This record gives sequence, C-alpha cells and structure tokens, in this order.
Amino acid sequence: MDGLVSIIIASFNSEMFLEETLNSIKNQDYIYFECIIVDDGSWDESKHIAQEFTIIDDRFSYYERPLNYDKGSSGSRNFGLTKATGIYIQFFDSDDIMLHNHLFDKIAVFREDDSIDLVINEFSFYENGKITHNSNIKSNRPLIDSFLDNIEYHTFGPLWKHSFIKENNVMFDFELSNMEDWDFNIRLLLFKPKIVNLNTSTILYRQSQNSLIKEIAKGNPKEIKSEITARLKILHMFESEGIDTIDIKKYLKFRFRKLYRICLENKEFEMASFCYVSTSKVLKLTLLEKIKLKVAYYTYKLFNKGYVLLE
Amino acid sequence: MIKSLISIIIPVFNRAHLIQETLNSVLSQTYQNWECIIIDDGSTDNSKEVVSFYLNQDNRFKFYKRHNTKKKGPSACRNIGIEKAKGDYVIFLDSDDVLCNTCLENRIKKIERNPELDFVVFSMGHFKTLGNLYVDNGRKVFHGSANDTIKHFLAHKYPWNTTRPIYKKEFIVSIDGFNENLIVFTDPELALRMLLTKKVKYLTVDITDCFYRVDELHENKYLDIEFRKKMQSNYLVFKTNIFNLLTKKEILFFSNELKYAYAKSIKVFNFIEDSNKGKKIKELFYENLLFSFKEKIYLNLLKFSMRYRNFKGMYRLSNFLMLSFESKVISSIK
Repeated sequence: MDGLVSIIIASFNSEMFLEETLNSIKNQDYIYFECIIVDDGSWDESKHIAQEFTIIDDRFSYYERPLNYDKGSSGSRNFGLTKATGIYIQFFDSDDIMLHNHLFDKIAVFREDDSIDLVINEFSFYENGKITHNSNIKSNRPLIDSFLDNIEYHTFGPLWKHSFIKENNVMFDFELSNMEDWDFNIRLLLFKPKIVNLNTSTILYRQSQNSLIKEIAKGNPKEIKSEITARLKILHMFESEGIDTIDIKKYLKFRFRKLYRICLENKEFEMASFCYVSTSKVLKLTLLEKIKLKVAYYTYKLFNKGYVLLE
Repeated sequence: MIKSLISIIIPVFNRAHLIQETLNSVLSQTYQNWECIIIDDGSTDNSKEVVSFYLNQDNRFKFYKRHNTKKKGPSACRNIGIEKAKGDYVIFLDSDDVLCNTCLENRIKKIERNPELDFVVFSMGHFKTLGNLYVDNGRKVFHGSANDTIKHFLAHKYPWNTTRPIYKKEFIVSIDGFNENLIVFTDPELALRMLLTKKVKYLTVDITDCFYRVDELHENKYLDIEFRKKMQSNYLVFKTNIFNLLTKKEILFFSNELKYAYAKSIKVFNFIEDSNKGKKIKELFYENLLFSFKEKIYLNLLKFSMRYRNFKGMYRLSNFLMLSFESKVISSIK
C-alpha cells in the first residue's frame, strides 16, 4: 500500500504562476497525494484558480488561513500541517514547478527503506523559461553546510515523514518572513533524521523579479532583519547542542558585513545599526573591525561612499 | 496561534507591603490570557487582605493556602501552584519582583515560535523603586550546551534564576516540580535535576523583561547566623541529591566544578560553630571525589584561613586558595 503524500502550499497573490504550479502537481506520476492550498489573504485571482482545482480534482483542497494563525507563509504552512493526513509531508511554493517524476522518485526511496525520515531532492534554478544551474545538496555534515549556505534545501527540497515532524513538535517560526524554511529545516535536522539525497533534479525553482534574494539585495529591512534573527537564533541553538561553531561564526561575520553594506548602500541606516549591534554582541570583532564598520556608517551617511572599508 | 494560557505562580510569605507592586505588574500585562496563582506560605501579616483586593477585582487571580501537612517554604507552594495551574506555560514569580508590561507578550511569542523547546530563558534587571528600573549592563547572556549549563550550576555560577524562564507546563510536571525539602538552592536544584535526568532543549533570549527587587532587609538575611545554619543543612540536602543523580563517569567529568563548590562551601559556612553538618558535607564530597594531596592541603589551609580570617594576610590567602580551584572551573567552561 503506497503512503499518502500531503502537499502543503501557502499562497499569497500568486495568480501569475499558480495555475502552472498546480497543474504540475496534478500531473504527477505518483497519484496518492492530497494538495492543501492555504490562502494567506490574497486579493488577486489566485483564490479562484485554487478553488477551480478543488472542483475538478478532489485531491486538492482549499483553505483560508484562520485568524488565530499569524499572517505569512509560516502561519499558513503551520495551519496546513494541522490539516495534513498523509504519511509524508511535501511543502511547496506557489510559483515553482514539480516535474512529473518528483513524488514518484522520492517515494521510491522510502519504499526501499522505511526507516528513512527525510529524502532531499536536487532542484534547478529556472529563469525566463531556462534552467541556469542546479542546486548543491551533497554533504557529510548537513547541519553545518546548511548554515554556511553550501547546500540548499528550501521549502520544497525535503520530503519529510509526517511522524518525524509531529514527534519532534517543530513548526515554522511565525516571526520570520524570510529564511523561515531554512530555520524549519535546520531545527528538524537537529533531531538527527535519517537522510537520503536524490541526485537528480525534480523541481524547477522559479527566479522572479521580486524573489526574496532580490529583496535582500535591494536592502528591504524586514527581510534583512528576518535573516539576522534567524541566523542568530540557529547559532544559539547550535551552541546549546554543543555543535562546534567556529566555521559558522566566521561565515556569519562575512555575511553580516555583506548585509551591513547592503543596508548602507540602500540608505537603510536603522537596519544597518541593528546589523552592527547584533554582530558585535555575538561575534567578537577586533577593535580595527569595529572602527572600520563605524566609520563606514558615517562615510555612507554623508557621502554615500566607503566600499573600501567593508571589503 | 490560538491564545495559550500562561500560569503565573507566586508563593507569598509576609510580603503585604511589597506584593501590590508585583500584582500590579501582572495586571498591566499587554497579553491578557493569563491566570495568577498566589499561594500563601502561612503569612502572619495582612498579606491575605492585600491579595483579596486583587481577587475581588479580577478573577484571573487565584488564591490558595499551603496546607499544614505540606512543608513550609516556597517549594511546596510552587508545587501547589503547578498542581492547580491550567495554563500551557508556567512562569514562577517572587512576591516582591516585577514584570515589565510586555513580558508575557514577548515570552509567549518566543516559546511558541519554537514549540520543540522545553523552556526559554530571558534576562532580568533590578530595581529599588519602580521609578528606576535598571537593565543590568554587565549581564552575562548564557548560551551553552547541556554540559556547560550543568557545569555552571554546579559551580554556583547560575545561568538563570526563578523568574527568568518560561516553561512548558507539561515539562515542569514531568520533572515533579521543586524539591520541598529545600528553602534555598531551590532553583539550581531544579535546573540540575532537569538537566541531569532529561534531554532538555532550551534557548536564551537577551530581552530584559523582569526585575529583581534589591531590598536591604532581604540582603541582611544572609548575615543572620540562624539563616546561615539553615543554608548549610539545605546545602547538604542539595548536594546529596546531586551526587545521587550523577553517575561515576559524570562525577569525574564535573570534578573541577564539584571541588570548587566544596571549597566555596568552606568559605561560606566557615563561621558556624556546629561542625556536625560541616563534617557531613566534608564526608559527602570526600566519599565521591578523589582529591589530590595538594588539593587536600589547600582545603585545610582554606579552613584555617577562614577561621583566623581576622588576622593579617589571611584574607589574601583565602582568595589565593579559592582562585586555585576557580581557575580550573573557568578553563573548562568556554
């Protein structure tokens, strides 16, 4: 008997690509799934598109996120999780594409060995109808490599055993608007699941104009704050678990300096201060480093220059 | 998320003059879904009248008296509170400390966003009057593994105290609450018991959302010799329990911290004439730990320097001896 997969999608104003996404799910070779679409308060056509699918295919169900769940993809996914009845959980985004063999290939791994908790697939970066490159998921130490961004799981990479998520009581962090999937995956990885990697790409990860990566590059303070919060929280969790954090702290220094520069270049001075304060508390900065960062703040504020100081 | 109920548990003993500020700080919380369980430890002042005012005003306040069959002290009272608590989360508050008005709002957010955690620890400031609440600028924010946390508690360098954590109620129930035989060392005993008997998942968040009252009367209590005697017998009970929980391997692993704790006890309990408890403490430590020849000499010297501490040079000697034990603890704690 093949196990049911619960596909959980948080949707918000996704009319542009939702139909393509849902069609890619409808056309899966593996037919035993339920697709739970949670709408996060959209005002475009995406609601109607989703509802159409529930009429023509009873594996699709549509919900609106109730008020007692926080706004955002975290709250929506957490609610979707309460509606999931499947043995396996596949989170998915409302604009990506599932190739026809995605679920089939992943379930095949579980069929071979039922003690596995997590199957991860590779995915392809998809921009303007073309695949640019594939992700890297290979690692001997997935916890650390996830943090260092050496490997990428995202929302859709993992296919979790539902029982693994339930037993360990992990949910999406509703305070994060960015990297909430990164945070969720790492917190579950801390419970040491048995992992198998699928080394073929079965998902097209759509790169759009307003993707989160681009938002960070524009200096969007909400997304930057979310990244800083997530990274610091996970750093502290690693410390609590006794994981060696030397490489991670080095990477954080580099990453925070980059975020700091992005804030200054985009004139987000308050967020730059926040970035500086969070960094200096946790990562021991040398006096020279502190001076450079502080001076850069003023040179950017007054002259909009100072790249050299932040190399 | 569905609004979860937070139970605030407050044991009270003769704090009529101070508990109003405490209860006001609960009443003024921005997060409304709480219940406040006050347990009277046999007060002889008009604490009950003061509390009645709040009981009549707001039915989220609840009041119980510790029954005569239960041992006197905050531990039994807190355990009664745990029994009566209907909330999903628990915070313990002392009857003279206060919470800042966004305390519950913060805490519920931080613990619900990571539901796999058993508790989350926040920071505490201090105050003398409500007009001046001080955030402790020299505060240490502790982020450490389970072993490091245990080491800190064993060496009496407590990473947190009563009011700083918000616990999941089911977690507190699963460790059987506080040890009712203790009136002091209740928090480190609870912390060590939970860390040694369970796989605990917790996080520390550096937000100062509660304040500890600095009260001269309170501080002077520690100088009173009768109180010190009680402290010493409590210390014996506390350490006996801990040694019972530790395996031989763990005792070896934590030996630096345990030896330092013994040295500290010599320092603190030195001027008590009743050497019976002192002897028992010595027996307990010597039975479980292997002291080197040098360490034994240092400990005897420490006793000597504390007994004749009024003589010239003895203070410096005792400091030097304590430091020799403390430096081993500091180096094993990152």
